[in-house]
Amino acid sequence: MRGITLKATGWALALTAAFAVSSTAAVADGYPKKPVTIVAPYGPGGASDMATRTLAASAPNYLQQGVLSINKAGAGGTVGSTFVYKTRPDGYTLLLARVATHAVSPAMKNLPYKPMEFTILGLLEKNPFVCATSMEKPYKSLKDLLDAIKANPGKVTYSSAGVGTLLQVAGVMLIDEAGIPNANKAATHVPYKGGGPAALAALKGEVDFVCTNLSALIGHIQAGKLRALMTTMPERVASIPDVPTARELGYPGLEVAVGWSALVGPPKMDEEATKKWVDVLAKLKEDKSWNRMTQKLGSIPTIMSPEETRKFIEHSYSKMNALVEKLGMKIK
Amino acid sequence: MDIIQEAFLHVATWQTILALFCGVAIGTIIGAIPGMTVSMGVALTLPFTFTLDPVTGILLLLGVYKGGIYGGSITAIVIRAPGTPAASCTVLDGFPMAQKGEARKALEMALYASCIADFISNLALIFFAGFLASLALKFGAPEFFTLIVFSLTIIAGVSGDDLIKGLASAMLGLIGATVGLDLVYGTDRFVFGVYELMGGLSFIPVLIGLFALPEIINHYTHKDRGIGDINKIGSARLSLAELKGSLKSILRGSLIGVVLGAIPGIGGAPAAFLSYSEAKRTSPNGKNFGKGEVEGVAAAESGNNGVAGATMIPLLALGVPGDVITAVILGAFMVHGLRPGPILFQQNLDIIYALFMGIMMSSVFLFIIGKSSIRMFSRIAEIPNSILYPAVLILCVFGAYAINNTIFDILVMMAVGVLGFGMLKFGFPTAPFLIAFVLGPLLEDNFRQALLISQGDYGIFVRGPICWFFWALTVLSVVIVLNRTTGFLKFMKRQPKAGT
Repeated sequence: MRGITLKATGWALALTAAFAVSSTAAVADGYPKKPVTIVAPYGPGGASDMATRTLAASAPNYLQQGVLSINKAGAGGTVGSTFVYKTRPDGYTLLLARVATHAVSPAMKNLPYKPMEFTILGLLEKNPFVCATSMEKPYKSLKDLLDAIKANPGKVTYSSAGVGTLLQVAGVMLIDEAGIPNANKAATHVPYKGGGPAALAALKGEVDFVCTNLSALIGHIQAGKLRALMTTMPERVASIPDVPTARELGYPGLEVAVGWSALVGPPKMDEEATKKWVDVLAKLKEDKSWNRMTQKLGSIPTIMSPEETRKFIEHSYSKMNALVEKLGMKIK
Repeated sequence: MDIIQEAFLHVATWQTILALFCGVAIGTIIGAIPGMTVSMGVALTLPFTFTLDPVTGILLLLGVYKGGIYGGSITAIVIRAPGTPAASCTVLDGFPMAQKGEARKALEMALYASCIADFISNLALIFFAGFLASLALKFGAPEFFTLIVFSLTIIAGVSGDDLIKGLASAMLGLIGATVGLDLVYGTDRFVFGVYELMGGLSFIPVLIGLFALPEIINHYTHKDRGIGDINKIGSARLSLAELKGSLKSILRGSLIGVVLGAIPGIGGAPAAFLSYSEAKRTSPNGKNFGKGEVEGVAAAESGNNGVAGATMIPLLALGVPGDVITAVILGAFMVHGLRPGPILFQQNLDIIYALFMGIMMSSVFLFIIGKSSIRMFSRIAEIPNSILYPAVLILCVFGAYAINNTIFDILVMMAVGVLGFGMLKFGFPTAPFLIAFVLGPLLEDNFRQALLISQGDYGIFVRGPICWFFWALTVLSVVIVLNRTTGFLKFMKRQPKAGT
C-alpha cells in the first residue's frame, strides 16, 4: 500500500515538473522568468568575485528578477568559462569575463572555448594597473628598475597570479616596450596562486616588483611600504597623484595592460535575454549605488555597449597575442 | 578613553549584537553542512553587509566565520563527514567516539576546546597583532617550505601501527595533489583532456569521498547488520576531569593555531593536524588517539579554532588577507570605504576597537549557541542506520556538488570513495592521504618559488633562523619516529604472533 502511494506521489511530482518546464518554454517572451546565475570564474574574495557580487546586488532592480552569483574556480578561470561556454544559451547562466579568461589565456594557450564566440553583453569596469616595488629595494623609479634588468638579465624577479594572467604578461610587456631583448627571460617570473599572494610577495620584498591591480596595492602604497613606479591608465589616478603614467614615461603601448570585467553569455544566447541585459547594463550605468560600490572597490565603472565591448576585447586580445607570438610564450 | 567609548557605542546597538548572534548561528549551521564551507558562507553573507553599518556588517561576517569553524566539527563527529576542511582532523577521534555512543561527549569537548582556543586567539589578535604580523612577513617561500616539510612528519603520527602503509597512503595523496595545471609552466598534468580536471581535484569532494563514503559502503557490505540497527545512545557527558586532562593539549593547540593563523596562506587544516600530532606525541593517552580519545578531539578543535582570530592579524595589521575568508572580509571593508592596514589604526581606531569588542563577544555567543545545539545534534547518532545512511549519502552528493556546482565533483567523490573503501579494507590509514593532499601543493609551490627567487641556489633553504628552526624540528621528529619504529620491531621479534 505504502509503495503504491509513494509511486503515485512520484508520478504526480514528475508530471508537475514536466508541466512547469513546458510552460516556461511556451511563455519564453517574458524573460526573465526565474533568477539568473552569474558565474565568477575565480574563488571568493578576488576582483572578479567582488565585481559579480556588486552586480548581483544592483542588477535585480532593473531585471525584475534575482541574480545569483556563484564561484566556479580553477585553472586560471578556464573551468568556469568553459562551463558557461557549454551551457544552455537561454540567458539564465552568464559569465563574468575577465582580461585573463578572454585576452591573456586565449593568447597563451589552446582553450576548450573560443572567447569571441560568447554573446557579449557589455564591459562593466576597468581596474587601474600599477607596477610597484618594496620600499627596501633600490629602485626609486621605473628607469632604475629597467636599468637593473638590462644590466643583469634574469636576476630581477617579479611575481604574478600564475601562468596566463595579466600580471605575468604585463611584466613581460613592460620589459619589451623598454626595448630590452628576450623580454620573457630578462626578468625571472615567479608565479603564485592568485593576486593576493603575488602582492604579498612584493610587499615582503621576496620579489623585486609586481604589476597588478591598484586595489590590491593601494593600502600598502599609502602606508609607505610599497613604491608605485607607474600606472597604465591614460591619466594620473586620483588616489596616487604622484605616480607617473605609462604614457608620460614614453610607453603608451602599455595602456593595453589593464584589468577589466565584462558580462557575457554563452554563444548564440537567446535574443530577448540578450536585449534585456544590454538594457539592464545601460540603466546600471546611471545607478548611483552600483557606481559607488565599484569605485570603493578601487575600480573604474566603465559600462560599454556590446559593439564597443567587442572592439575593446579584440584589441586587448590582439595585443597580447602579438607579444606572445613575438616572444614564443605559447604553452604547448 | 573617548575612542573606547565611541567604539562601545558602535557595538552596543541591538543591530550589531543581533548581527553577531545571527552570524554565529548561521555559521554553525553552514559549517555543519558538508560542502558548505565557511568561505562560501561568508561570501553568501557578504551582500547583506553592503547596506549595514561597517562595524555591524563586518561583525556579521566574523560571526559566520567563527560559527562555521566550530560547526564543521559537528558532522565530522556524528556522521564522519567533516563540514569544512579544517574539521577533517576532528573525524579521527570524534567519529570513533560517536560509534562508542559518546557523541555527546565528543561534541561537548569540541565546543569547549573551540571556545577556549577562540578566546585565546582573540586575545592574541588584540595584544600581539603587531608582533605576529612582523613574524608573518618574515615567512617567505623557503620558510614555508621548511614548515611544510616538518608538518609532513605528522604522517608518521597518524599512520597507526603500520608506517609503510601510512607512507603509501601519503604517496597517493601527493599524486592526487599534482592533478591540474603546472604552476610554473602552465602545462597540463594528469588532465587527460578533461577540462574539469584542469583546476585540480577539489578539496571537499576528496574529503567526503575519503571519509564518509567508505563508511557508508562498509555499512551496506556488512550482511549481519539489521535494518533497525542504531548506534548506542549517547548520553555520556564530558566530565570536568576530562576537560582538565585535555587542557594542556587545548592550550598547545590554541598557540599552534594562533601562530599558523597569523601567517598568510596556511589555514585551519594544517594547524589542526599539527596540534593533533603534538598532543598524540606528548600525551599519556597518546596510544589511544585514533580510537576514540576525547583528548584527540580537543587537540584537533583547539588547533583549528585557534586560527580563527589570528587570521585577522595580517588583515588588520598589514591589510593582507591570509585566506579566502579574510579576502571576502577585506571586500566588506572596502565596500564601506575602509582599508585595513596601518592606516586604519591611525584613522579609524574606534572601528578597530569596536571590532575587538565584537570579536570577544562572538566567543560568548559561540558558547551559548553551541551549547544549546549539542542536545539536538547528538541525537543524530540515535537515528536508525537504515534512515541515517541514505540521508548521509544524499548530503555527501549535495556537498560534493555544491562546492563548485559541478556534477564532475560528484564523480570525483565517488572515485575517491571507492579508493577510500579499498584503503579501509586493506588497512591503509586515510589521514596520511589527506595531509599529503593538503600539504603537497604547498610543498611543491614553495619549493619551486624559492628556487626561482634564488636563481636555482639551494642555499636559500637554510637562509635564516626560521628555516633552521624547522629543519631541527624535522630531524628531531624523524629521529623519534625511527626510534619508535625500531623499538616496535624489537617487540615484534620477541612476540612474533602479536597482533594477528
